[in-house]
Amino acid sequence: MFYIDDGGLLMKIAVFGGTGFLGYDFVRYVLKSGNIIPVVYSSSPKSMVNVARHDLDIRQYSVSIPEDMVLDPDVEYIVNFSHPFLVREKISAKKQIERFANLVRRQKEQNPALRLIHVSSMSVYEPFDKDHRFGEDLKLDPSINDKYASEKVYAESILRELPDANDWQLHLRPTVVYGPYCRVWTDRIMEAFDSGNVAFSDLSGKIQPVYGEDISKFIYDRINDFKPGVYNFPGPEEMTWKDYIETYRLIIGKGCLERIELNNTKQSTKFEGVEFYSSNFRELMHVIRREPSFDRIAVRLAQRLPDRVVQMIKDILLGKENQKSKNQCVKEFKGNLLFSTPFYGEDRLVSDQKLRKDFPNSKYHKLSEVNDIMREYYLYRFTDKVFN
Amino acid sequence: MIGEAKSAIVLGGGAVGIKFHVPRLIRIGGFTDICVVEPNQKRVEELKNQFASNQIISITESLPKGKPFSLAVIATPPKFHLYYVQELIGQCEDILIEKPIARTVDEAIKIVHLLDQNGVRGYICHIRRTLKSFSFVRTILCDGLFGDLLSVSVREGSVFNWDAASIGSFSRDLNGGGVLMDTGPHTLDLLFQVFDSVDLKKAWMDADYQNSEKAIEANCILELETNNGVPINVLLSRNRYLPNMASFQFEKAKVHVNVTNNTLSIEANGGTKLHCIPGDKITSPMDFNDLFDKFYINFIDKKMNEGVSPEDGLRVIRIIDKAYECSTLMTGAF
Repeated sequence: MFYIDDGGLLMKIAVFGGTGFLGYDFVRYVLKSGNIIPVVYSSSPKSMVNVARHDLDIRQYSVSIPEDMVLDPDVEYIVNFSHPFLVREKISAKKQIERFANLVRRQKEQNPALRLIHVSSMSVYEPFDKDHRFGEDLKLDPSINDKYASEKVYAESILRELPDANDWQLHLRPTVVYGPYCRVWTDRIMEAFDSGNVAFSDLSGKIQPVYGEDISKFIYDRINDFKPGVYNFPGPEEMTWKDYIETYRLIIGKGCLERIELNNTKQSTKFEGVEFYSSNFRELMHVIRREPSFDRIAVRLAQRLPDRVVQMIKDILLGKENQKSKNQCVKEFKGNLLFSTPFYGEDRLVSDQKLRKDFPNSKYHKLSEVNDIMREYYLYRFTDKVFN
Repeated sequence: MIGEAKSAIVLGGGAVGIKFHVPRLIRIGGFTDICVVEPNQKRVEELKNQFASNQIISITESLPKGKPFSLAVIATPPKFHLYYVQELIGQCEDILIEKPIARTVDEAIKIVHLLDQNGVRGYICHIRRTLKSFSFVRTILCDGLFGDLLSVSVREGSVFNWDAASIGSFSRDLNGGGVLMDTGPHTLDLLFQVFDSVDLKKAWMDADYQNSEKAIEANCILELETNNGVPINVLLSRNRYLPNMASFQFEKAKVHVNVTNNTLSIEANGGTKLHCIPGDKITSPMDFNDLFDKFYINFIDKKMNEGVSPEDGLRVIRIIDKAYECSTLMTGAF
């Protein structure tokens, strides 16, 4: 604890993943609210744009998390938004998770008063079912093919295996989260309507979207009034994907939702296949391009290939081929293909009973209550409106 | 000369040095001996592994003393530009400095004097000097083709996804600032291709430069003015999708120039529109790699620094420095 001039207390917390969407939202909320000093740990320099705007202690760390890595001894909370996905620095996601859990264990041994708030994701609630609201006590059983969800489950379980975890850990499992800087459930949808019509096959699946700042506020409140446990974190309303997406269309005032037949999405699947190979090819080329001899060979090779082929390879390397393939499909479907998969026809609901019962005074925003903010955000992110 | 190794030294083993300069030194410059200096031990190991079987590239942690180089490329954070220029004097014929020339005007002035006094040719890596489109606008302006120029608006921005190897791009100590130190020098250099002088009137940043020590901006607005009193509004961003266009409003037409490639469009008041690539032969739009290639071909290979000299870098940093000094904190940004 630090004392500030007016006699108040300042608490130091370590925020992992504080440069991502939800992590940054939380850091910003904390800075606005005061009495907490966040130290932001990030393993990815390229994601620091937003957080670097604040007068903050930002520390870069290696995903290898060596045994001698320690946090400041006066850190009272670790708030974790980060999720080690895929192999980084030649270390598997599983190993990264284990090393993070080890860091938490070491820190707890050093400072027995330490507490952990770990933010997971809705992906782990599988298997979903129609009108089924997944409870906290049910077994998390994602498909083994879903590496992301499996790793999320692994991270949560390994942290909960630490000694006396039930006394000092709070695990939150938000559902579909949206808000400023959310790439997946905000920017992507805005981008889609911004560029034209959006195709869908079935948007009847029900979700409980939660506004990012509601999670930030909840975590801030728990730091000031801690309660351990595992909680689902849905938003305050159930709605179909169609209603959710339609709200964005109205916010943006552009584009239309256009229904397509599900069997037409075979082309979409084909496209995803191309995307998979392109992505691998890109990764391979990324490695090869580091070799200076590559440039010499590539130039000679390019001179012998037809322009069309050279352009195609260039597009793949620059990641532009998706745009082109999408555009071709868009011509056929007259819309962006973002929502044309069966995913959006499935209910993805969780039970909110435990959360509402234990924290009856917490407030959560409905999507309609933050429309104005989302509209302003759209103008900020996707247009050249001047904000000064 | 046959049999004689052509040597270059690259200071900084980060993404810019390794991905952009080293390949061009080999492919365009014809260098056969390239020494990369990288002070970070971990990065040195990575680079040594990466270039283990390479006969041209060697990696070292410190500057080799006394060895002569035809060309030095300073691709470090701006904090170290002056230091390396001081160290390299006497060892190099030419020095190419990544933009901006330095972290502050004071450091930039010292660099200009050092190079000048020691007869070393300096280049600032203003790769957009190779765009023909802005010199074309200058011709339109000088010829009075569309009447007087009334106003200029530049909107440049995209969401940052540079594959940065270190925290340098986000450190005020190392970099001096955010987007204005990042893409800002290129944008200002484009304006200097059209106007002889530009003066800063007002600046806004979304980081507090007056009361904080670490924060750096992702967004910046500059209100500038030409010596004829034409207002120029510049909007730069690292977290917004902006059109990447400079629009010149003349009396009789509006000219929109893409700031990252060589395309432009003209919209006459009567409604006539023309989309084109200026130049004396038919070409395709350029991308970042093309610009970099052309910079090496037009300037480094020809040992010609007109438009990319240290003095050109100095006038850019003068505006940047002033902007940070007088900036007002934005309150409307997300």
